[in-house]
Amino acid sequence: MSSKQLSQAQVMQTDGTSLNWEGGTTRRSAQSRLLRDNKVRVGGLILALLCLAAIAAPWIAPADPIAQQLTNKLHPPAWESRGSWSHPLGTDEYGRDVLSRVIYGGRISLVIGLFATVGAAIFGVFVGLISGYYSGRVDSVIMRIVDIQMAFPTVILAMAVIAALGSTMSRLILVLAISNWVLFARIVRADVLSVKNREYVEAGRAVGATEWRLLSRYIAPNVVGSVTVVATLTIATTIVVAASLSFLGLGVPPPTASWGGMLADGRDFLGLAWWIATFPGLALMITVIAINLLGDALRDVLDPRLAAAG
Amino acid sequence: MQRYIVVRLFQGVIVLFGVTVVTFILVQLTGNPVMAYLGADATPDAVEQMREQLGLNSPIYVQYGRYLERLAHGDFGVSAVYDQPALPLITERLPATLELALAALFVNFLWSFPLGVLSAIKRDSLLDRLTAVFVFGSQAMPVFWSGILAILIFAVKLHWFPTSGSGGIRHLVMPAFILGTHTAAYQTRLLRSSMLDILDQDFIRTARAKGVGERSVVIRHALRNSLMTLTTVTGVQFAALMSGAVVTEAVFVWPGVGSIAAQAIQNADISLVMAATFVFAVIVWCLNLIVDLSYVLIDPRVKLTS
Repeated sequence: MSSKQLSQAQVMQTDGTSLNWEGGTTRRSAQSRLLRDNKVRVGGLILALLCLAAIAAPWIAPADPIAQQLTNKLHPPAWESRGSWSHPLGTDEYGRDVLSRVIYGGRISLVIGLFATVGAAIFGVFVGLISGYYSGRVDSVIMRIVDIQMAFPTVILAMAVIAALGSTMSRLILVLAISNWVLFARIVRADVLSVKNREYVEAGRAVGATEWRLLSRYIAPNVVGSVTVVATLTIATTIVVAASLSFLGLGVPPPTASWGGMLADGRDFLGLAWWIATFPGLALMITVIAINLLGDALRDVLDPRLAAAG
Repeated sequence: MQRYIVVRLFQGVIVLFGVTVVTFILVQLTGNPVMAYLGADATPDAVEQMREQLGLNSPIYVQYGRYLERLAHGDFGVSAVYDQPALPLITERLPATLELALAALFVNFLWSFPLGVLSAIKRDSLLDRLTAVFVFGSQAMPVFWSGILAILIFAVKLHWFPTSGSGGIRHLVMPAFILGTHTAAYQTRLLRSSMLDILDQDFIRTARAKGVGERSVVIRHALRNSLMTLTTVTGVQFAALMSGAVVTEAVFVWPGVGSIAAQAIQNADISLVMAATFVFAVIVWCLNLIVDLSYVLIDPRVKLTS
């Protein structure tokens, strides 16, 4: 990248406008800056490994995650004096292999985080576009709905819905998507408001572009940056909330392995078998850190305005 | 200014109505109450009679109206497990939750204020980097995980604090610390960027040019201006604290609204769950309203424009 291109990208950052995805130069420079960022490298590598482990779970897990072996219960990890390498991270109170359960639990966490976020993003972006573009009455109705939703803290809304409907994986995803669409709607609405009266949109209107075309071709590309950033960070928070729900006994029903559920089980054996709760907790922490690193780097590059807003 | 307050209050009432609609719909979704009372093998006649008795044959808006009327009298139904009215069960535990939330907010400020301000003033210093590590770390440690670690280390191994329950300051330390530290991440980050934003503005440059001391620039000029952000965030944080309190209470068996709500969910005690949901939503709603109204006091621009 030449220094001229670099300074162009920097100017766009400091004057506070979002990067224009239609400009080839900017896109290339954004990409190369991303690839050279250490946060992206570290976060991306960890995340890639986690995804790989989740996909390859049946082949790499040393044991069946739900098979109980009561003669083998509460075995410590391999490096402890009573441990053995047949259960590298030990076994839980039912003699189930902790490593296998952590690997399978990762599968559940990633699937829930990803699907719930995609669901929330699709709905939120749509509502945000409409709300920002049409303003007026539509906007104020939508914003009141957003306010109502914001009055329910995520965990509490999810709790109420799952208590009412019962818990399955698809309901969990749905509930988490419902709790998060507001984030997307708000940020997209703000983005749309800031660009919809720009000259190039006026120009589009003047040459006879239909409303749909204006929205999809002229306005929507401007929200891609912030939506990507918010989506990445939302995956992390969704994984944490899903684990919290599992911890409270509201997540994926047992015996399916989930990190939150394992932590809840392990809580009762803290003095006796620290490893049951510690490893799923570590896995959760590493996952969240990896995603947040990636999200943070994306924010610096794709949406400088968000970086300024914290 | 009056117009602003009136508009905010009016919007607040709409939101409160929305909250009742949501809990009403959720109660409707819980399934067929008739079958719960009569069992699956009830005769059609008995079912019909029960439906009439419970008012389930009336149009849905009439049912909602009755629901609102009951809520207005504080009637959230009877808890199936405790066999007592649901609302008092929740409200009597509210002080414990508020105690935890306020203590956690205090811990939150202990972290976020110095870290947020200092890392902005000393940008790119070692302290700034350590703050970033703190933010990343505490975001990635959900309360149930850090709580369990804390119990393992400070209660089980070192015996410094009791593992769970309430009663006195020693019981409060761990849950408040865990919840406060977790929520401090977001606040620290926001305070830092808001300070950075303000320190970059013309009036700060003017103040410096006039020869105002650095301490005074930071405290009297910059910090005062980031109060607005801080107020907003504290409002939002309180919602997060309420969510966090549910989980924290479950970890430390703290006798607040959160732990009874978590228990009620496991027992499918719907009246109790809805009463808890409603109370939580109303608390968050009140706080948001207070935050909105406090702008009038903090930011003179609100007074001028409305």
